[in-house]
Amino acid sequence: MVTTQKILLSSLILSITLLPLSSCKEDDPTDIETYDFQPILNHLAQHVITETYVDLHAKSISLVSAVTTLQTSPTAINLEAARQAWRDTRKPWEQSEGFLFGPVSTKGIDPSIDSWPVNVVDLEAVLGSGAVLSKEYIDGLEGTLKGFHTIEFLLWGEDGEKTVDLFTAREFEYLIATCQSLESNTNDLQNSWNVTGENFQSEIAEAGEDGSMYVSQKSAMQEIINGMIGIADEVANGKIYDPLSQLDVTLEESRFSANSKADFIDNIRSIQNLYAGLYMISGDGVTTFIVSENSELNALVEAQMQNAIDLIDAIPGTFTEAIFENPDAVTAAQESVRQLQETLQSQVKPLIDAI
Amino acid sequence: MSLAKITTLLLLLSAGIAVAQTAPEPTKTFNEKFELHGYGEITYNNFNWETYPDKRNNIDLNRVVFEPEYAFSDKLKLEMEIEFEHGGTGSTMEFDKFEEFGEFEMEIEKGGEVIIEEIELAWQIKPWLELKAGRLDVPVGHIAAYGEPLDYLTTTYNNVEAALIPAQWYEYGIGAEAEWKNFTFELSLINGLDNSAFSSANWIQRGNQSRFEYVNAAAFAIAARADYAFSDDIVTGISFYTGNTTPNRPKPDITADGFVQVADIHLHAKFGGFTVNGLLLSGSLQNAEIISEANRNLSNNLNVKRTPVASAALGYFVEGGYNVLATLNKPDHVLNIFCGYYYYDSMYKTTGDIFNNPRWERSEIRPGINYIWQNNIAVKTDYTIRKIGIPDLNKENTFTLALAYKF
Repeated sequence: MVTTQKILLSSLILSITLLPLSSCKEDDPTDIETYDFQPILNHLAQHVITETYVDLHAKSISLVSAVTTLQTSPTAINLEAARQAWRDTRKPWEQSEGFLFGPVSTKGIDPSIDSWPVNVVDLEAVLGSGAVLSKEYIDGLEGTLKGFHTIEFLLWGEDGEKTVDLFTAREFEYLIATCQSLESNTNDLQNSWNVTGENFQSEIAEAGEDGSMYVSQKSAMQEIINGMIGIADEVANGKIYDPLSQLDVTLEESRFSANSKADFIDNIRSIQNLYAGLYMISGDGVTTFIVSENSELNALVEAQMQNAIDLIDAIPGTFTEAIFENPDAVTAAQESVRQLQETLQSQVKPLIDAI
Repeated sequence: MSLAKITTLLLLLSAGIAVAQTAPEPTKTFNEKFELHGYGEITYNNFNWETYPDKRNNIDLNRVVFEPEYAFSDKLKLEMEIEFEHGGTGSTMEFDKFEEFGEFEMEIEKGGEVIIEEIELAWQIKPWLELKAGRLDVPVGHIAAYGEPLDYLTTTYNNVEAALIPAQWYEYGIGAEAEWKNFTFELSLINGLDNSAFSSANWIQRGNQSRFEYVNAAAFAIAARADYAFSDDIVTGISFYTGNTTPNRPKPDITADGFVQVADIHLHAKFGGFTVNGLLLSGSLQNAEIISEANRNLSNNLNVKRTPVASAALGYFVEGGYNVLATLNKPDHVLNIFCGYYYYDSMYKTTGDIFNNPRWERSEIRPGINYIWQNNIAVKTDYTIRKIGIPDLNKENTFTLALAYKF
């Protein structure tokens, strides 16, 4: 059989004389390092990034238990506790969006956690189907039918006004299974980074050494800075600008829970955490390098990050209300995030690129 | 046909080509040996979709296709099909000091594709037998035989095939075509599909490995077709495709076989000004649940849909047209009024813990008019009234205007 296949293959190659030839562009295998980024990379990978994921997983376990309690004892207090557990879980996730590289992307985990918008029509079809809504069944659904925003929709309802008496048995079933599915995804994520698991953190911490997927420390730093630029771009020009410019609340990401402003602030905090090297434990961050190169730029970045957080926080009322009633405040917040994005892209990144 | 027989055929073919090439015919000039055909179409789409109210109307230079053909001898030909989809493609590097922070930027100047769809060496070994090798047209479905814009009534391909299987389906391999009385038989051994790209909305359609420089050839498939012609214009037949789709995944992340089977019955008939086309297409996928599970964990960078895939898909259509100028005896002018009914469900059956999403059960009524001049130029218009299997806000209506040519 094997031989026949081999003959087949060779004959095929004989017969087809015009196979496309490709040329491979090889990366320069070694960049000459003139700055030792290792302490920064080590601290960010081990403490900031991994700890954010560990925190996310711990919070998602609490979320599972909160919705289970809500099912067994459906009271207004337990509903609020479940909603708070969702907000608590949402926080580290949003604070991880400044580093959407590595396993979260290569293992295709993020669409299962944070797909948007919720596909309400298909969600109703899932509720209306006869299937047993187990964790495994939810695992098999596409991203827009599970994850944070599906849980949010089930907890708050489309208008955010859902009361505990409106929950159906079927919705509880869906809610619990979706939270269990989220928990297993966040577990996969923290395990992928954790030194006790697949240890992706060592790829960053040991960048430039043999065996790391990053050919140099600089390329790992570029990955991090591009992650920071990417989330600033998304917050400014997607998450805030789309609903504002189109006056369309369906484009607002966490509108059921009115959690959008907190989402945006946590996204900026994600940038701040990487920059300052701070999550639970303080250590080296991007700032360590920037201070040594240009202390004025360092002060500017710090001020712009804080300014963006302050201006988002200063948006009156909920984000949904503000896009109609206080568009100037929303525009000012959006502008501040764009300034931060521009500084990261035009001044911070070139300093790393120049190494 | 056993693998050993196919191998023998292959070796015969290689030898035959060598023999054929040693016997050129010096009497013919280049112009006599070389032919160029071509076709193309441009469409304007006006969308009125309840499922997607913001969907933008668009204009699409769907495809411009050139078909060079070179005859080495009376029996040996090289046929190619070079396709520019959506106006071709262009990407550049740019250094922008002032607007891009002094960085090198990758620019996409033109979105689209340029594809060698077909490259086929064809050897007419006997008057009734032709052998082929290269990148071949997979002989499954209606479009495989009637895929040029002036061949079909509607403005674009029928959505039954376009949604479920690779509609312009070409694969690398070898094939044979035989004629006997009014029958035509086709048999191909081709590289198989890759099930990492299968999806809820389009079943196996994205599986033909078009994104990679090389196609994985770890598993082969067999495609066969048998047609019976009552006359030149009335043809009916069946086709069948089978092949494993797991070994061609980019990474060896699953071991379970994923055999795809597709079978169809097709009809194309023209008589007295009438045109009738029909197709029934049914397909199955082995271990769809395992494949769905593995696809869910694929990297975002692979750019596949990663949605669950069905264990069975089903589609059928019937369309009829009438040339209102048929009685005027003006063969240069054809004015067809037509209407078709199309049904396709890319999630006809699912297995295990897979949500059978009703959204993917779709049916269409599609009336339209087309005018064809000298069998070279066509102006077509139709209105697709599509209903999808969700309870409300389920209409997707599309008005399309198309201009097509062939030479």
